Amino acid sequence: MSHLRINELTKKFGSTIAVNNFSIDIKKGESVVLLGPSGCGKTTLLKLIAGFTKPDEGLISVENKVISTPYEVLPPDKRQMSMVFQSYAIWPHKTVFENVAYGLTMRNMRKTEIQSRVRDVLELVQLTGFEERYSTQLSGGQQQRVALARAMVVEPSILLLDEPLSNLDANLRVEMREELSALHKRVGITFVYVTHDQAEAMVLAQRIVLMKNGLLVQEGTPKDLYEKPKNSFVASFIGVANIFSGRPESSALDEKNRIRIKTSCGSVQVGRQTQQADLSKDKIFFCVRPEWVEFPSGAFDPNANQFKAKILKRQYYGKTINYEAAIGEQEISIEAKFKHDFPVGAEVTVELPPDRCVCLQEN
Amino acid sequence: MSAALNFMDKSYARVWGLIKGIRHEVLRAVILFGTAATLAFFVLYPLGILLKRSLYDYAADAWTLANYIRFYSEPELYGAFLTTVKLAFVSVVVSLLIALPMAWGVSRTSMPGRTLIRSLVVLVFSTPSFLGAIGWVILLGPRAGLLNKPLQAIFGLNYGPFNIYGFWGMVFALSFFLYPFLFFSVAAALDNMDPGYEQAAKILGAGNLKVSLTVTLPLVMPSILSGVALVILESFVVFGAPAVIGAPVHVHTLSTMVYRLFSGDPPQFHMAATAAVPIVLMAGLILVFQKLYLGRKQYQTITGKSPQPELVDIGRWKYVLSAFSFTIVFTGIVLPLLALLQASIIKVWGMPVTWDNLTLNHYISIFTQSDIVVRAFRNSFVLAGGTVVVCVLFTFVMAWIVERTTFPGRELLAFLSMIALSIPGVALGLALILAFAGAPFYLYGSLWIFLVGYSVKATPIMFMFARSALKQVHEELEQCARILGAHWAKTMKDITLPLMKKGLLSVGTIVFCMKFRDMPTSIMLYMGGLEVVSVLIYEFSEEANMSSLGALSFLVLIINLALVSISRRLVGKGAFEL
Repeated sequence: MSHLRINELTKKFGSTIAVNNFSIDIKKGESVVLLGPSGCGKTTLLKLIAGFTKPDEGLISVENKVISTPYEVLPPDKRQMSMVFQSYAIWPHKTVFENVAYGLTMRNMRKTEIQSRVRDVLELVQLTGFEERYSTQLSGGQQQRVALARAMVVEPSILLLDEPLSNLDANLRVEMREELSALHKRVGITFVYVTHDQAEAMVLAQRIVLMKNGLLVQEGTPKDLYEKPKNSFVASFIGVANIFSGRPESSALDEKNRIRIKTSCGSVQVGRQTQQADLSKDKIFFCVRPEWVEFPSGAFDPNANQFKAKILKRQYYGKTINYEAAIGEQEISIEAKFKHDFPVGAEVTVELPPDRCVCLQEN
Repeated sequence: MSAALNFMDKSYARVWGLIKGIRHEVLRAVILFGTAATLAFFVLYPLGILLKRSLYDYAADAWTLANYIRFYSEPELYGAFLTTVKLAFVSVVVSLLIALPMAWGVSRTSMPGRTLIRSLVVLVFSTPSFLGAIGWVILLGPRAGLLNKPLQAIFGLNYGPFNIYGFWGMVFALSFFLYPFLFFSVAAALDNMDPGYEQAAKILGAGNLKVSLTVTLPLVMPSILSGVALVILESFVVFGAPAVIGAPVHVHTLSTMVYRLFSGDPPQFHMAATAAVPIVLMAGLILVFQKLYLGRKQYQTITGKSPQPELVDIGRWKYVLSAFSFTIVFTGIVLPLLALLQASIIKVWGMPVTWDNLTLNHYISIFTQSDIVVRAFRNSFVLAGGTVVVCVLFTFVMAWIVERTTFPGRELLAFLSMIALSIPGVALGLALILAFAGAPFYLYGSLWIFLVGYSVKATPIMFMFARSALKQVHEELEQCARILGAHWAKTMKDITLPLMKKGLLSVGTIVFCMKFRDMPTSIMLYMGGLEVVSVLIYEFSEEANMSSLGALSFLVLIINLALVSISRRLVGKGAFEL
């Protein structure tokens, strides 16, 4: 049984459609990340789930009980969810203890019980001893952890997180997302997490839902989205991708399920996601990620997707060296291991392994 | 999970949700409509009646422009209009001459005493101008003026060389209370200006004067215009100073003319209304101009986050500037207030100032002589307090609707509030009497009409504040409480109101102070037995009862200053720059 189900949800603000016919099933204990650029509707979706806004169409239900309809919305205080806000929303007129205990004070608990629960959760987020401080006396990272403690101490069935790390500096962000990931594994609450940071999504998600302009573009595990992107938006948003386009040289796949595509570089054998390609079109897109480009040793074999390329730019990173190279008029990015060291202007042979050339459906 | 939405079947949920949803929509509409209707009723209805009175002949039962024609053809009536315009124009010029150098000196030079000057100007701004005007009458009255008498003795004159009464006396007394509008506006802009602009010009070779004229001045032009607009507005609207200095010699502004027509024998309501309409129009125009041209300024809090601008070294001139500033402040406020003090502690008015002739009796006798002063104080306190309570509640609801809901048409509330702001006190008093004195309200003759008048005038200020304060309580602070289980009312109690408390108290104190000393509205609404303190001051000055006048005025002054300092202490500068 799904834990949180969203059915054909639509929300408009005036003439802008913030969330467009969105549907998803989230399982209990799953960690789902809503990923996308600013304005893609992910925060609106979170607010709809929390009950702060009413949908224009569609339904939201939890364990088969409907909680949001276009006519009535179960108020946020009755949903047994919890939320970590982007601004943390730590109440400045209450101490850390009072902040964290607030949710518990409304649940008819004895004071001693509240105290022990607050203490436990503060230990969980490593803020023991901070009980009497006020938010002005806390750093960004500490405030974020108070917000997390406050959200978790009430043991919600669903935890909503709205870009909780975006206000932290880079190092702290890396540390906190590891902690959040570990926390999820330990506690097992359903996480719905919103971010625009692709690296965060990769670390925290069991399932990524990529959104653009209110629409669900692609959902899947991080590996699915990385290795089998649906279109060039997905390919470029998660990781870096070299996008190629060309005309298919035949209308059917060969025996290895590959198709030859005539691009400006020449004829390229493409081997991934070829079943979804529409071969009747006269323009097909595919992509190759920079780290999948290889430098073959041995003789030049034009039948094995090998091409002559000229190095245009070179950036040394120590472990890797990144190149911008040109195959004819097509420019590609290459991420090479340190041992493939070429100067700018060098003529090299590159290989695009067919199984690493992924067909894209452009719409 | 709530039992109400506990269904398995989606279509059933849709129907049930629709029914409950309609109920919520109706409730929403009622709240919005109720608030807007209340505001509209107390603002638009009186205004409408006022307009109608000026445009409608009740005897002939027809619309007419006769009143306006009469008003603008009779020299005495028309003269009031001209005088008001003249007053506004001259006040602007004088205020510019005073405020610009002072503001520049205080903000951009190393003028000695500049911090003190700032505090003193705040003091000037928070003192009602009618008290200052009365002080000037005491000082420069032609026969017994305190400054005139020694000059009479020296030069052997029958009458003092200075006569405060008349147009120029009015300008003189008022200017000292008008320039602060410009001063604050310009000083704030200069304080917050990024020094980079001037530094860029200097690096390119411009000298100090050129920089000031070609870079600084244009940059602060919006704040100069804003201050000028406020000076013009205030000259049109002010009642006390013209009533005390101009009216006795038949130099009337529109405000005093309204009062004269209204309280004359017989009262000419239609002409009074005709005189009031231009004031309302002018005020409305200025506010629209402010909002459209300079709109952003309204909801800004002065936090002064920009880096400190560089101070300009003007050498010896800084002493000149300092002397100028202190002279203005001293003359403008210290002299007249000393006059009030003197009148209040001298045994008999007119006696020379010696230790033998001083007494504190007057302060006691105003309360013991008759009930009237005690009653007036009680009325003033009760009304001011009542206004604060009513307005806090009402404007909080208004601010909530505008800031936190998505009710369609909620900007209407802000619009109505602006209309309320643009009705000057005298016009409002008249409008309220015309609208509510008779059937079916019968509010004239009770304190309720005062409460309505004070509340209508206080609502725009409190609304602006409530809205700004609510904006600063991040919505997520409330949403977090909601999602943790607090329903709407509990969230207000635990989160929103505590975070607004300090500011509310500060604005509440200011509103209390302003309503306690209100004159223009009160003078129109009062009748025998229903006096408030400011009306008594006016009556004492009419009777030339100098000792009581001095004592009462000085007492009001002390209360005024006390309230202002309490308010400032609560929140700091932010409370003032509205």
